[in-house]
Amino acid sequence: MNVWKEALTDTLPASVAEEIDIFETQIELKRQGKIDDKVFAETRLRRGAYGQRYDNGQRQDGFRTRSLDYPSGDLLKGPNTLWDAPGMHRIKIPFGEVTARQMEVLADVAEEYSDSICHVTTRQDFQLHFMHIEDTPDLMRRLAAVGITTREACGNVVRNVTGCPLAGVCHDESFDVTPYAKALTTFLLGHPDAQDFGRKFKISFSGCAGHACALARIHDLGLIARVRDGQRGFAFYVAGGLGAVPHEAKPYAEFLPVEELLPTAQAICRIFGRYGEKKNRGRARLKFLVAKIGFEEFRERVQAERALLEEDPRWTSLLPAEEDIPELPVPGVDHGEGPFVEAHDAWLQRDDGPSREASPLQLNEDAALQAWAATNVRPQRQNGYYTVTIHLPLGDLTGVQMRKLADIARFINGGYVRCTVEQNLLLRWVSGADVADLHHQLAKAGLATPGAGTIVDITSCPGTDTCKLGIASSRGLAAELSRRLAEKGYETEESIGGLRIKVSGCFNSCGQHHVADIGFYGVSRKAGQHTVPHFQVILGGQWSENAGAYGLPMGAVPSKNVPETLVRITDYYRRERHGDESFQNFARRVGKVSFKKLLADLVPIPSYAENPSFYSDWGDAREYTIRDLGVGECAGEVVSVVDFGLAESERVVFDAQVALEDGRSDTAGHEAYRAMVEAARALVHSENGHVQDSDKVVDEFRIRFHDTQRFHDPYAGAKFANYLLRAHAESKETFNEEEARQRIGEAQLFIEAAHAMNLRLGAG
Amino acid sequence: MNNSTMNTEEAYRLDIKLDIDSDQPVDPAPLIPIFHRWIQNDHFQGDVLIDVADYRHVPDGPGVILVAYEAHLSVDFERGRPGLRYARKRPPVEKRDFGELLRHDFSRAQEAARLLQRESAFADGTRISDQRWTLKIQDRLRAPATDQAFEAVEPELRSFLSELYADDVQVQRGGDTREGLTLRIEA
Repeated sequence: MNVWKEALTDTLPASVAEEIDIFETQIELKRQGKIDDKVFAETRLRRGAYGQRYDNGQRQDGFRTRSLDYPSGDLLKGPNTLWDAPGMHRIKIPFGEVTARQMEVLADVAEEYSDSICHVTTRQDFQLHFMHIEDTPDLMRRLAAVGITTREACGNVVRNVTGCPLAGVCHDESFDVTPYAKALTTFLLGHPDAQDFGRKFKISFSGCAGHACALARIHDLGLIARVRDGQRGFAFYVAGGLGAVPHEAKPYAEFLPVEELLPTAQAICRIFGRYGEKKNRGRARLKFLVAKIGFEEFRERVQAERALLEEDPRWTSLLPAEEDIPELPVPGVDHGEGPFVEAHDAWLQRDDGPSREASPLQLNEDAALQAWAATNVRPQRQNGYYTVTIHLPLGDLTGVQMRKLADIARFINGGYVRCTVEQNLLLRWVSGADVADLHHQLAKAGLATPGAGTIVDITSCPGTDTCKLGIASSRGLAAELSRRLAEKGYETEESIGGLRIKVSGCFNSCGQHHVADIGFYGVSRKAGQHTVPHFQVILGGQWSENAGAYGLPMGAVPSKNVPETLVRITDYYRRERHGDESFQNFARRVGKVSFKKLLADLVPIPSYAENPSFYSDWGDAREYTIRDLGVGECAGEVVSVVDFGLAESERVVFDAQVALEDGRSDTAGHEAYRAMVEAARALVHSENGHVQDSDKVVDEFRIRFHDTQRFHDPYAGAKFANYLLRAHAESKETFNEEEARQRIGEAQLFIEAAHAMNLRLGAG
Repeated sequence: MNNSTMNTEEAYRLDIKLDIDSDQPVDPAPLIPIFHRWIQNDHFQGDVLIDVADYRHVPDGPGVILVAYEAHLSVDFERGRPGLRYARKRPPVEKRDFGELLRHDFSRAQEAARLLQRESAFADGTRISDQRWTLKIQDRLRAPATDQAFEAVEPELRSFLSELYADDVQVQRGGDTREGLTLRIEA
């Protein structure tokens, strides 16, 4: 027993184990050239396996473009993506909650398969970089064994459902959104109505309208908790999104009762799948559909679709009964016995909670402790408990640190941590008596960096470090800015300490620059024979009120002048603001012209001879170039459900062949039949949506494709269609070797005919 | 999972870290231009060199990594101890048993050390030791931090060490038991 598949046999749920086994088979089929590049790319994306910079096998080394001569040569794992090129793996963490055991496994897989760094993203995921595709099935198994999935982490699907990390402990929330985020995550994962999008679909839950913890208004679905007449519900926003063209989400419903949450989300998924753009990726997000058909028309279509939905018991069964979510009591207080305490105990089994006695905050004279506590420690709603933010520079921590943090979390709160959208980690339920010792323990682990949530806590996307679309080094810039601001002690200055800075490597806004007080995104400019990295300056975005407003572009400055740009802007604000005027109001009041003037001398590029450092990016010794820019996989390839279904049918017929080789003729015969049904299901889906029942699939196939003669081959006529219809009618239970072999042959021909039909459908 | 899963012969993710001695704190910043130049000049032949990853911002982190297809080479600061690390990520092209792979990868780490010691921007005031180093096997399935796994690798390791050093060598188990098998070697 030397492989994780066998070692974890008894640990993984059968359905999850099967899913991962299927993916492993798909990898093998791709290696053998039996799956189309585009189909495999979207398949692996939907499993979280993403491309990385230079994965086309070409890299500019500063002087010339070099070929990376990998052992597998030209073998591909997607269009223009080499098999051996390392990639990124995204790991979904719904609403950002990780347990101590999960942290340990994340640490293990980061050290074994990646570069030992666990990277927290702006959407509460973890990402591992420099991964090899062959390692991904074991990565998935090990994560699945502790309840983590990477399924639908990338690709044109519902991405990680994010949620306020303060849910349940926040002073200002209407109620704890955690169980509702869990319910929607579970409901939409793999849901047939959420598999045919033209692009990704993002959902976020917030407990209140005022804070920025979940950024509800930049999401396709943004849900803000609200209570009306004692009933729980959500202010329901739709069609928000950043990207190159930011759209603020629009209020779909002021109050949507919690019982309507899942069916309304399902109806929106159907409308998006049916009417959303599929060909032009740049116009395929929900925000473009709403802009195209108009908000009222969109609402009417959703409502009509909602009315047509067949009742699904999970709409309510996945939701928590309100009596199951009591206000968490405090240890040391006698609550007696009875249903309330039992319900509370049950609740604790599902989530974090207090495990240490409540206590007022106890700090000592240590200056480092006090500075850290001033920015990283906040009181919870529950007296005597605090949240502690672990400020991760650029969202990174090592496997060793992750393991130490798991130990710390076990002691502090039973072993729970939440990721934040600011790329930090949050410990909740910290007793005030434990804060000083916690600081000591975190400092020993290199995790006691102060300045969380301040101007030095800069968010950044991966940029040119690893992203194929990156234009400039967002991480390099963010590290430099953070270092310089911390040296100046800006985080402690009242006027500017609370400003948010966010950096993206390109206009696609993964670093969320639109909603920062001061945002930057990477661009480039020509200077003679050279290219110079620049950053566009965006001022006055609104971080609070769930990202309530977007900033305004002020012009681009060379990358190496950005630190001085930032100093001038912050000094200007500090000097000229009126009273406690917010930065947003200040930026609008003084206007674009005055900022232009302020930064005018920072815009010209010194000549190469005068200052060659301007021609390299932060943290990169090479002369700058944009020749490494690739085709991003952010959107994934637009692969239709029919393509996926046909790929699935090929996998099943492959399994049938394996079974035949193993002497399992019965299984081989059944699998060959199932492969034909899968191919038929794919075709039927193209005209009639997803059909689950196999009998119905065959009936629909007969009516739509056989009886109309659309499936007929120009030479063989109905022959291939009849393979399926006959096999279905026979319902054969047992197969000898020859019968199984024949059925496999028929299945292969049927699948080929289905591919031909799919081509005709596309042409039509 | 139990010990029946252990098979150190199939564990190839060897992770070798040679101690770096220095009077001053080791500064990884010069490694960025050095590693980029190594890629430009194909200076560390034998591995497909891909890119340079900058993790200087991570306390006690991997510093600066020269990412290659076969292995990652870095000046690493794990647990506050600087060292030159050669961490294998892919199985060797030619099949090698544990002893052969150990010899091969240790020689790669030595070669990297030899090249780096010539880089004055980094090497001045530092010394990379091949007398004190740490071997981790980053494979918790095949080489967990257990007595059995240690006993399985010890004969080959001792054999290699006797070739390497004339005098007695101390081999100590170390690290967090949740990590892969970790051995500290001091000659």
